[in-house]
Amino acid sequence: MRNPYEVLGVPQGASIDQVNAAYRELARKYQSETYTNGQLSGIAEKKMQELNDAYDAIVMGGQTSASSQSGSDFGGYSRSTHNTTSGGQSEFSDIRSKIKSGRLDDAQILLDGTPDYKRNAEWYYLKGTIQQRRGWLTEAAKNFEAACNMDPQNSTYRAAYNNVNESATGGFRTERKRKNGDGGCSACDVCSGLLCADCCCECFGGDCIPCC
Amino acid sequence: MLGYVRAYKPDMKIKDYEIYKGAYCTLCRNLGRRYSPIAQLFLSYDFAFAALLRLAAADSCTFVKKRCPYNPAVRCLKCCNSAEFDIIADALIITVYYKLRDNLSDKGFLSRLVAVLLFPVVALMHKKAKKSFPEGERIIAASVSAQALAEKENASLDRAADASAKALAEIFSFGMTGDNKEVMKTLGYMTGRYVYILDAADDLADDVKKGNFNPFTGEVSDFNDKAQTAKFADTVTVQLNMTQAQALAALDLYETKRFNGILENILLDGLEASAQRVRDKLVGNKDNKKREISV
Repeated sequence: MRNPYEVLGVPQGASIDQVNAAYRELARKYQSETYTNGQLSGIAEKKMQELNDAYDAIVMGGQTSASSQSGSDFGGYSRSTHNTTSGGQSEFSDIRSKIKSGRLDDAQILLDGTPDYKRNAEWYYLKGTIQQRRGWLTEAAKNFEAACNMDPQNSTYRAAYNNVNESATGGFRTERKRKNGDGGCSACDVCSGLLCADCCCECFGGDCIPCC
Repeated sequence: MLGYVRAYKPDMKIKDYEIYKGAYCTLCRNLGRRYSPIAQLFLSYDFAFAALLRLAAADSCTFVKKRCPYNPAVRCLKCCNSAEFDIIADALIITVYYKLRDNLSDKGFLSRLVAVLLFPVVALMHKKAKKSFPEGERIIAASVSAQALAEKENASLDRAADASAKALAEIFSFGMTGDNKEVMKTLGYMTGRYVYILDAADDLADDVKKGNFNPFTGEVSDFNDKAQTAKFADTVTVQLNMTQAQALAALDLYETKRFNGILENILLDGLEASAQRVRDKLVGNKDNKKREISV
């Protein structure tokens, strides 16, 4: 395992405040919605795991913490993965498994071979997923939109569509610049600080904010 | 790459700027030493970015101060990791070669004249580059033919951007291992896609006039109609934002040993500034030309 201080990017023997700040900053990066469904989602998850381990190692002095045993991953920071529907019920389970194992070309061929009358919302969703993996963002957005229109109730399709379009306004730039800026403390920082403090409390058996 | 990927100076630390310029100078020296002074004509900041990006993950990186042969009064930084710069310099020459070969069949008289004059020299340099970086030659040649095919079939934006984006992905990730290879593939792909979209938007008026392929053809029928060009600029901005977000997300996962500030400056503010320049040109916004700075 790598040196936990190195993983967090703080000097050896840094104070708990520094460690917390670094953890928060990196967790925000690694859990960005931008990775969802994309080519890098696996790497982002791996890094998040590494970060959690490093944080545990520093804060709990190397013992496995209660948080990772119970799988709660420090309360507010557990990633909500948009679970794909299980292969069994799906008409396209073969294609899904191919996408999962990264064989995009094979999946594409199978998908394109599907006759028109069989092309339902899921078909468009899978098509969009393949395109997103390839980096074809425009067409991915179009296909996710088609999937949403055909099946408006499905939250997976909706989430995928929102994910692609979330960055369209360029809001991510303001967020990053605020972070790089004068280091002021916004309302969001106050809340996330409180949440983190609560997570620490929970580790030791207490709970200040019962709802999370 | 065409001068779109560069640092945003006002937001840069002075020490970062010196290193950035140092990478540019090192590339210039490399071209002069390994090719010829003519090769230095094709130098651009985009390739300096590529070199810095790859150097960021290198085990060691040292700079020394050297006098510039063209301006001996100035001493600038020179990077000692010449292997990284060799690759980038070779890639630059190969790119220039294919660009010039494309220009030979161009319709404009002036660009064809320049291409005809430079082509023999560049062809000689290309021979050397091909030998020293055969993978680069394979990657770029494949991208050029894929691009030609996509243009012939009047491809959609995604497919038209795919060829050059893939080439950049391959070049950026060349020789990398593990997670960094995957990360650099995405980062390269998204950077290439960004540049392609921006360049296509920038050249739209020209391409429509000359009848060249452009994925945005048909989006604007009258370039003097402000409402139309503004709407088109918005469409392009949406595409660019989506691509930039992916590139920045990839940068967050890149395990670097140095240069974080410079790389983020280029991919965040630098790209945005380039997009703003193109946008101003599209909507005919002359006010920004005055370079007034209000603080």
